Amino acid sequence: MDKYPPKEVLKDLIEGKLDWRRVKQIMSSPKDADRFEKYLALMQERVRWPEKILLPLGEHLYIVAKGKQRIVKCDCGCEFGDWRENWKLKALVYVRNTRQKLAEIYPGPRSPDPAWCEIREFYCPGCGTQLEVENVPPGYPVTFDFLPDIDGFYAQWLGKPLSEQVSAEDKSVKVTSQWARELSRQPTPKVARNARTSSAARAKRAG
Amino acid sequence: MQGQAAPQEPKEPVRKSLKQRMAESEALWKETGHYHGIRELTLKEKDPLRYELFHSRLLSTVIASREVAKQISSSVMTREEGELSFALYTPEGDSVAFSTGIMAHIGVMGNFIKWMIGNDWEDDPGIAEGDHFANNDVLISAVHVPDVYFATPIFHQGSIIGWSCGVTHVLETGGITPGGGMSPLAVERQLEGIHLCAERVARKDRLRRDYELKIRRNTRLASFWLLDDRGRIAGNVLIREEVRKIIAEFGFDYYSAAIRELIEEGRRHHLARVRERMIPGRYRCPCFHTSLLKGRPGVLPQANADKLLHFPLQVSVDPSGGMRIDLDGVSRWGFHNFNAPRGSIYGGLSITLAQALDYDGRANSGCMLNIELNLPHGSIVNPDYEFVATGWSWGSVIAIFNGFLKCLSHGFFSRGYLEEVLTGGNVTTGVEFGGRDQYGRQTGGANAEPAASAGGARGVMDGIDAAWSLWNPEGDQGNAEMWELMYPYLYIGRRVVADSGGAGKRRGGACFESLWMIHNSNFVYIYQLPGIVRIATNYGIFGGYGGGPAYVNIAKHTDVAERIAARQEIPHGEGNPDRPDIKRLLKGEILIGEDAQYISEPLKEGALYEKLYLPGGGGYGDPLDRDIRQVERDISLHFVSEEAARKLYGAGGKANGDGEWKADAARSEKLRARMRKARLARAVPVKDWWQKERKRIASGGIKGETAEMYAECLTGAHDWASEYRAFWGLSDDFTFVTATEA
Ligand SMILES: [Zn+2]
Repeated sequence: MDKYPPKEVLKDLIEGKLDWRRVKQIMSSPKDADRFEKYLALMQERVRWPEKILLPLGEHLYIVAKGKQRIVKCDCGCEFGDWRENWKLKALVYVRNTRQKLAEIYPGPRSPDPAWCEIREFYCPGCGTQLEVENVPPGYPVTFDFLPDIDGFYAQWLGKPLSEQVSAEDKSVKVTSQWARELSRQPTPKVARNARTSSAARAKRAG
Repeated sequence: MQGQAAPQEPKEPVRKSLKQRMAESEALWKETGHYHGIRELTLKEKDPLRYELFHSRLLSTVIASREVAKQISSSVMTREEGELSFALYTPEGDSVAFSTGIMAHIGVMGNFIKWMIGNDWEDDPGIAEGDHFANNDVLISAVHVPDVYFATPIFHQGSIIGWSCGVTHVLETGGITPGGGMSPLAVERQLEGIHLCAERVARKDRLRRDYELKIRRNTRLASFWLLDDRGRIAGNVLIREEVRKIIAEFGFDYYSAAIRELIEEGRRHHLARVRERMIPGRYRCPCFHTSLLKGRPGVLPQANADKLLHFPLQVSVDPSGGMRIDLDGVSRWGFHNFNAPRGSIYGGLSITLAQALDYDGRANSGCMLNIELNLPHGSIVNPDYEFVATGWSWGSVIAIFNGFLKCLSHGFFSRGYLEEVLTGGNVTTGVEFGGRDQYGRQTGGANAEPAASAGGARGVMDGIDAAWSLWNPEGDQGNAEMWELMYPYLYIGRRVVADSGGAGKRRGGACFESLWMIHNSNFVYIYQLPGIVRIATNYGIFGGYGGGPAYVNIAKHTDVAERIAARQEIPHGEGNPDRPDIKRLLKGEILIGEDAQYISEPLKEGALYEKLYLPGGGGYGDPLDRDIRQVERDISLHFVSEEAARKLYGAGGKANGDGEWKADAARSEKLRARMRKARLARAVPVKDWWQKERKRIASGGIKGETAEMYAECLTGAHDWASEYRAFWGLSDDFTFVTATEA
């Protein structure tokens, strides 16, 4: 009972090939305890590179073991660096921040106001797949959607600890501070220099 | 104690107060980490069949009470939409079993019971057999003013051994404008209408006359309110009487132990579910909403502002299966109706969990025990102003918990349970109205048809079209004919909105629209509950797009009557959003999109109101990965336009001799390859973009309400603020200067 669906049915499920009746049956049944193992095997069969998948992260992204490292990798082979650094920082981005660019997705009155909202499309530099879309106000930091605790998962939930234990600490700021250092000739901004900024407001903030 | 004669004392000489019993139960939980200190599921282990039978008796009781109440109330909201829910509680206010319907209220009603216990309601006003206590006060425990709760004590041998509670959404609350208190003008609590504050409204199972009079004199559609009250009383009494039968059958000791064991089992089941389906780690989804009040007619001076509201949702799952939900950096509360105090957040969380994780276990209070909520003091989710308006708290709650679904979905996906993945669905923007109805009476209320608006895409299939809402997942649109009986308008269109579902490999569900014509009245207020405007707000996942802003179109005075008389074409839907039919076909005063958002002067006979229940659901995966046959099907159903099929899905094809659009696989393949190349050509490395953006932020390139949102959310020392500055490499005291400060 808790083995259903078998691997080949799971493959059809993932590929969207099962009709609603069968999907519903799977949804309504107790979950298969070996799902993760079957899933990993299917994903591993799908990719053409040799690294071992530790955790699928998205439709095209995986966290894989590469030598001693754990990195994020696209199924096309493109690599995005350490799993604890937001992979989006190594992607390409296209920002829809004008009425015209937004209207290509949301026509007429359905288009957001670019002063309030921009659409950021993150693409894989290797294959041009759209890996994630953000809709956020301009000036919003890039969101680190999911930082898994891989070792907690393998050791405590699967009962199969990985050989090396690494704490799931967000290292993204290492990437951006490197970028900041490259710009370090410029002083660190303190207050947004709005056109409307008055000396009084600055004094108030300083005090 | 007042009222009824003191009940017979059983053997125990001194009876513990509910307050003592509640404190003891909480102490046991803190001490042992098990609900009520229950370490072993003894009853279940000893006789699992009896235990299951007991549970199913409780469950069928609460479900039956909902059906009974539905038939007694004749409000279209309650009967047609199913905007009601019933539950059974322990004496301390923990939910044991609940019905379907608006389940968000189950935990919140429990907190209402706890509030009465904590505030010595047992001493004054006293709690007696046959009493019914009502509440819709959010700062006691509720979600918003139209959702009225009734709590009824259940006595056994003179002691309170439990509570039954019911909620219905009443149509009219007597606020500043007709409707359920959700008006954009209700920017302070006093403008929302009548508040019942843990009030004893019925004795011996009959409504008090003074209470009835109060409702009649203070609301605009009192008959429906009072019928809803009777429905709640009937449902609660049914539960009470059934519980007595269950006790007679199983014995009181069994009853008392089993209801608590079910809750401990619910707690364990929830933790096991998290461990079964998710991955420990940190999940994030920043969520937003908008409130536009600046310069709008009738707005109080303190509310005269447009606001971008920020809900930076973070969900942490630890290896025990425990969850922490963090809203550090969230917007402050304000003079608008989006404020969503703890009760409403708790409600949103419980209804989302009941759908996404805990649906087939013991969905009860136990599920919530290992979840920690961080709701910053003074913020929109934990206001420190006692008269804060909360009429449209749901707006914030739905935005946040659509994001929560996306967070959970990352876990489900990584674990391999793609059939459980569910991206954000519609962020509701219902419609309320009132004035004079077709029978010449005062009226007011909401049309709750967005209960069936649009679902987000799933990992293995498209989102549901024109169905599902986070807050009433099984509700449907209600029959148009029923709404026409209730309200002074006719449906001249109701249809699926093309291209409204977020594009993706799996498409977000398409929403629908209604086009109404005012009929037999010359005085009808209509307004959209403050909707998502100016931003795209629900969330696709893995490269799928979210849905766009919501809007309405209004034709105030037009030649529609002449066109009907001359049997000429009239609009039945939006048509092409760039040139909507309402504008293309009619002449007169016509407002489109944001211009029509706000409450306007009362509409007259023949005016048209077109409500598009945008956004559709969020999409899943890169649209260029979508099966070309599915695009073909979408076009044939008019869910996706040919233009969008080409531009968003890279689908090549053409109409055949019968006018049917047929996909061309080879052409699509080429088109998609070209589109992927074009992406690579127009995009830049995030690093380059980051450097430019940083400059823009530092030099005041972010302006207006967006800068104001940042300035507010960067105030004070908290993780979100320091992370914001760290991300952009800004100094520790960086902030935005806003127009009001300068
Ligand atoms: Zn790739």
